[in-house]
Amino acid sequence: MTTYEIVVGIECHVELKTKTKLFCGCAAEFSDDPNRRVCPVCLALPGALPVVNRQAIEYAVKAALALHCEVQPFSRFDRKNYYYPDLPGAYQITQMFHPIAKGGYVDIETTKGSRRIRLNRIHVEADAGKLLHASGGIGGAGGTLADDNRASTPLIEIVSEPDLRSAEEARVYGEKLRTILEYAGVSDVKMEQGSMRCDANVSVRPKGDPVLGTRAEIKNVNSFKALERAVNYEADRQIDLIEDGGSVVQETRGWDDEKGVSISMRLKENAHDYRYFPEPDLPPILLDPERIKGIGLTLPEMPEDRKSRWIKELNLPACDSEQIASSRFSAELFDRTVALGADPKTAANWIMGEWTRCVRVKGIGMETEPVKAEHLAALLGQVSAGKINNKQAKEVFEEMFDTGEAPEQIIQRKGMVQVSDTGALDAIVQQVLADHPKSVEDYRNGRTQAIGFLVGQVMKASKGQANPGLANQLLAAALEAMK
Amino acid sequence: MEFSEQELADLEMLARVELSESEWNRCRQAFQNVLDLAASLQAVDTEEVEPMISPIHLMNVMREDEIRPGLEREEALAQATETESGCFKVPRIL
Repeated sequence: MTTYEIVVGIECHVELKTKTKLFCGCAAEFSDDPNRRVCPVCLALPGALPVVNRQAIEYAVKAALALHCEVQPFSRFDRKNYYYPDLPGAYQITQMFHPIAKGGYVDIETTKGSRRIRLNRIHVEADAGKLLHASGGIGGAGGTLADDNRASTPLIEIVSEPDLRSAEEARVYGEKLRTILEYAGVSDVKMEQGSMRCDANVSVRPKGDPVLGTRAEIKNVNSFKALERAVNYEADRQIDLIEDGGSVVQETRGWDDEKGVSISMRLKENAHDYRYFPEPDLPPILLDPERIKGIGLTLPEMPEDRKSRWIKELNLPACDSEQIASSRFSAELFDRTVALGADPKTAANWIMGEWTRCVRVKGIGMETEPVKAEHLAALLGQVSAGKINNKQAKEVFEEMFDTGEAPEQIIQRKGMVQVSDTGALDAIVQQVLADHPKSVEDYRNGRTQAIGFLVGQVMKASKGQANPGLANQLLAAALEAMK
Repeated sequence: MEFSEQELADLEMLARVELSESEWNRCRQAFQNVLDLAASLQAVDTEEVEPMISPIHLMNVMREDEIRPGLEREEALAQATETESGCFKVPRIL
C-alpha cells in the first residue's frame, strides 16, 4: 500500500489596522451600514486617482521584518483584472511583479518537533467589497447586493512555500502567524471576523516522491481548527480519488465547517486570465535601508525572544512560557506584573488560569486590558502576605476583571479578611469536629483524606475567611490529640 | 501573428460583452492592427533597455493616514441601475 505525504502551502490575507483605506481617505473600520464609507476612488469612478496610504506601507514593512523577510528597496502596484460585483473597478490593485517583501520564515513547533516554514513573499493589495443576498434569500430570484465599505481597505497577503506536511502543521503555522502579527501590532488578526483569512493549497504525493501533486485551493476557512479539519478532509479526499484510479483536478473548493466537507467552486475554463499589468496611476515605492531599519526598531520583543528569556532568567517552565508568549497581551501583562515584584511562577499561573478563563468566559478582548499589571501584582501581594487566601483572591480577581477596581478597594468593600488567628480558628475547628463525628471516625480508622472534607467545613463556617493552611494544621493536631 | 477567432471569443467572455456580427468583424480587424503594430516594434533590439512603465518619473507619492469625507450614500448610489437596502443591486451571483 502506498503511503502518502500531505503538502500544504498557505496564502494568508491580513487586514492592516490603518484608520483609512489603502488609496483614499475613507474610514477603513468595519461598518454594517452599507456604502457609508465610499468615495470616487474606492468606487473606481472614472478619473479618480488613488494615492497610497503611508501607514499601510509602514505596517506592511513592519510585518515583513517581524517575519524575517527581505524588504524590497523597490516595489510597485499592478492591476489584476476580473469581473465580479464586489470589485467596483473590475480590477484589483495588488503587487504581482514587485512585491514589498520576499523570503522570510516562520518557526513552528508541533507534537512532531520544530520546523522552519519558508515564506515566498508578502505583497500589499486592496480588499474587495462585500456581497449580500437580496430579499428573496438564497436561491430566490432576489439578486445580489454590493456594499463597498470594505472595498480598497488595505491587506497584506503572506504566501508560504509548500513546506507544511500535515494538517496540524497548517494549524500551528496559522496560529504562529497570528501571534507574530499581533505582536507587530499591524492587524487585529481575528479569523472569526475576517481580519485574517487563510486559504490552503493542498496536494498529496507518494512519500519520498520529489514531484508535487496537483493541488486544490481551499477557501472560506474561518478558524484555525477549521483549517486543520479542512486540510485533513482534502488530503483524504485526494488520496481516495487516487486510490480509486482517478486524478486530482486543480480547482478552488469552499470549506463548509458545519458539514465538514468542501465543495468545488470551479468556474469556467480560462475565466482566470487576469491580464496583470503595471498600475499606471501609482508611482513606485522606494524604501531606503535607514527607513526600513527605523521601522524595525518599532517592533516589540518578539515571542521567541521572550520565551527564551523567561526560561533562562525566570526559570519559567517551557510550556508556561509558550502559552503566555502566544499573545502579546498576556506576555506584556506577565512581564509588567513580574517587574512589579510578583513571583514569576505564581503570576504565570494566574495569567494561564483565572485571566485566561475570564477572557474566554466573558468574551472580553484581551487588547482592552481588562486587568492592569499593577492590580494583579497587588492582588498576588495580598495573598503572599497572608491577608486573603487563594479562594478569596479568585473572587477579587473576577471583580477586578469586571470593574477595573484595585484589589485593596474590593477587599475592603467585601470586608474580606483572612482569619489567621489561632484562637479564633480553634473554636471553629472544635465546632466542626463536634458536628461531624462520622468524618472524625473515618480519620481515626486511617482514612486520612477525611481531613480535606473537614477543612472545607472550616472554610464554610468561617465564610471562606479562614487561612486554609492553618485550618489544616489545627485540624490535624486536634485529630491526633483525639487518637 | 494572426489574431484568432478563439482569442476574440475569449476576450469577449472576459470583457462580458456580446458582439454582433459586424462588431465581431470590426473588432477582429482592430485587434489585428494592434498586433501588427506591436510586431513591427518587435524588430527593435531592446536587450539592455529597462521597461518603461510611465513617462513620469515620480516616486513615493503617499498620503497621511487621515480620514477625509467621501460621498453621501445617495450620491454613491445615484448612477446605479438598481439599489436595495443601501446597496448596489446586481443579477444574482451568490
